[in-house]
Amino acid sequence: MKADREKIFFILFMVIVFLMAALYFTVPERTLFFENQIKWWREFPDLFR
Amino acid sequence: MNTAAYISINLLLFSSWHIFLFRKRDILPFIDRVTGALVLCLTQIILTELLLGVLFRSLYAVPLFLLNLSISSVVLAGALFHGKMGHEENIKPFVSGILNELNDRTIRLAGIIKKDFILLLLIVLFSITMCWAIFLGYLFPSYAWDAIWYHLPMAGYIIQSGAIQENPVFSMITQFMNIFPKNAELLFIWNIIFLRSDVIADLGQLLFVIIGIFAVYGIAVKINISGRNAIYSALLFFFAPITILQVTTNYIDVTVSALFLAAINFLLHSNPSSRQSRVPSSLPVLLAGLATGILLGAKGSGPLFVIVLSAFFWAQEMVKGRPVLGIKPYLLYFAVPAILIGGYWYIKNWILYGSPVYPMEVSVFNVTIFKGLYKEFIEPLPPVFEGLSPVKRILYVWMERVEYYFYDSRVSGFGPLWFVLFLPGLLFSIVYALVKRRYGFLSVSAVLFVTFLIHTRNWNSRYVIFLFGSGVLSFGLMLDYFGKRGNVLKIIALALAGYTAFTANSPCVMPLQIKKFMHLPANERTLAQHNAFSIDLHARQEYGYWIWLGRNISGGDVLAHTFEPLFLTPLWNSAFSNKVAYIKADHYNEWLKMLRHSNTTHVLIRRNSEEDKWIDREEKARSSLGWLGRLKERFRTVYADENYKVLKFNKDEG
Repeated sequence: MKADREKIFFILFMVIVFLMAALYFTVPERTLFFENQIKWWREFPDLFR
Repeated sequence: MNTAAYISINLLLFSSWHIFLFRKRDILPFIDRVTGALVLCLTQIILTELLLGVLFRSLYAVPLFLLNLSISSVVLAGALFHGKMGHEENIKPFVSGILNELNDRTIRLAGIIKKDFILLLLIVLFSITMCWAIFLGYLFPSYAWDAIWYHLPMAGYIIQSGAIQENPVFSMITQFMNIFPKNAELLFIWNIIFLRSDVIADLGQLLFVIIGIFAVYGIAVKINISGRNAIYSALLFFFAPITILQVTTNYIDVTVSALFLAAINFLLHSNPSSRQSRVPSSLPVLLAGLATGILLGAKGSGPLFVIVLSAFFWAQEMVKGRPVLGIKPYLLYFAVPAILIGGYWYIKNWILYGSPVYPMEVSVFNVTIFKGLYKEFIEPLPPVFEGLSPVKRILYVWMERVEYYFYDSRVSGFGPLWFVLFLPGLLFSIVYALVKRRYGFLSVSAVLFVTFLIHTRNWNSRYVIFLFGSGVLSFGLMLDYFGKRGNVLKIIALALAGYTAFTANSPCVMPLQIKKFMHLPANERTLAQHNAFSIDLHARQEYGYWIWLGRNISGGDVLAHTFEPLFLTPLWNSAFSNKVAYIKADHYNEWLKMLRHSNTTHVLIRRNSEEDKWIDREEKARSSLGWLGRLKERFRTVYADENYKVLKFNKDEG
């Protein structure tokens, strides 16, 4: 009974976490954020040239 | 030699207090003793600087070094030769006890890591991120806006005069610089004065990240989170973008939140539900008082934290039924130390300006308690907040609708860990704690949430980094609750921490700039060479004279300026060994007299300013005298661009 309840809570928790992740990573500004990060990391190998 | 002095005095300070606290190991667990030793070190630094700067007006490297050397030697001797100790045969086991404990802790940590691969990866990620931040802090000068606008100039004025005093006011920011509490700046001074260089000045908050991590671990263990999951909580505290980015800035936001968490951790010793509350003692209260005092004297919002922490102390006392510690320890070990270390700035303001929190006006129910110039924040709200309710503002910030992370972003800062994992975790863990009567967790969460709710501009992540602490603690509790299933949460946390670490790249520090700085000689790694994105647009026209001053102004030189520069910090060289003075007058002769009086060697003026015209007029008059005039040259232009001139001033001529 206790184990079942924990399992249900865990599934519920994971569902909420994935919903929050979807919300967080799909805001319109995220595209630009990733573009800026990609630009930063593309420059990074130049450090060692 | 400078580096050796800096390292040795820091090692002496820490080891003396750590050994001192080793005697209290029945009261304080290991991590709390390390945190306590760090708090005591900071307290000693602040008090000795206050003593030398306020009373003796000789806050210079040698007296500061000698004073701290003496104090730490006495502490060390007292700790080693205390009570029955004193015989050589007793010192050896004592010292080996300290080393054995260190060894034991390391073995225990290694044992935990060995059984938990995700934890090992998290530690590796933490270490890489921390080392990268230290490398950037070492490579680049302090470039953050507020750092070069007022935090470092406050340190600069103290270093140049050797005195903690009011300085002439010639702008709004110089007025604020007189009024702001300066405990954090005293710690910045500590990182400059011995090294005679600002090379690691921007790493001033690094120590507070460590204190914050230890404090979170201490709290987690006290609220009965298992040791392994407490380590997760502690390490994840670092993975907020605002914290990672502020490690390399001379800001004070991490400082404030870390000290707040440290004070909560020490006060938890007397929490009835705490695992470590068996030995009632005043020592944790004293350490909480010291941490609170440093916080109080670091930021104008300090009194708010004092009120909250005092309320927490008394709430714990009330819950016990009858007070265990009571009013006397509260006053003696909490209130008095807090006021002693942080109260100076408020008392001084009260005496000089008529209000401890000047220039802010304090009113309660329309009754003005302290008059001031401003009733609310001068800085306007971000435009995106228009029409948003307070809750929507906070959600907007937590969703981080930004194009990049930034050290003082007003609309981001907590990263995905907070929004994705910790917010749901908080909801679950509060319900769980209520059902299971986990009062320790509930009381800490209540303290953090109440402080968050009453804090001014709480939507601004950097002001409320401590709230991230509630998130990491809830995560630890969730891991305990979910047991083996928690491994999934650990993997998600590791992934989000990795995402944060790899995306917390400031646009101010691009790889090409890093490469450029790696190839520059140390003395050329200046603000003007950096042309940081955050200041570039405003500061471009200043770079010329910044570079000239950085290369040519040396120790003992006095640079007079006649206008309010965009930033004051570049008027000092990297060693902060020259002096800077604002010298303005209505008449030429009066100005000359003031320049001579202040032993000016160089003058920074704007082109076509009144001073430029005076000098030009005199130059023309002198050149009309032929060779005789040239002999009497008073000002010699050593740098000029289309906006500014730097002139060498010969005070003996004319």
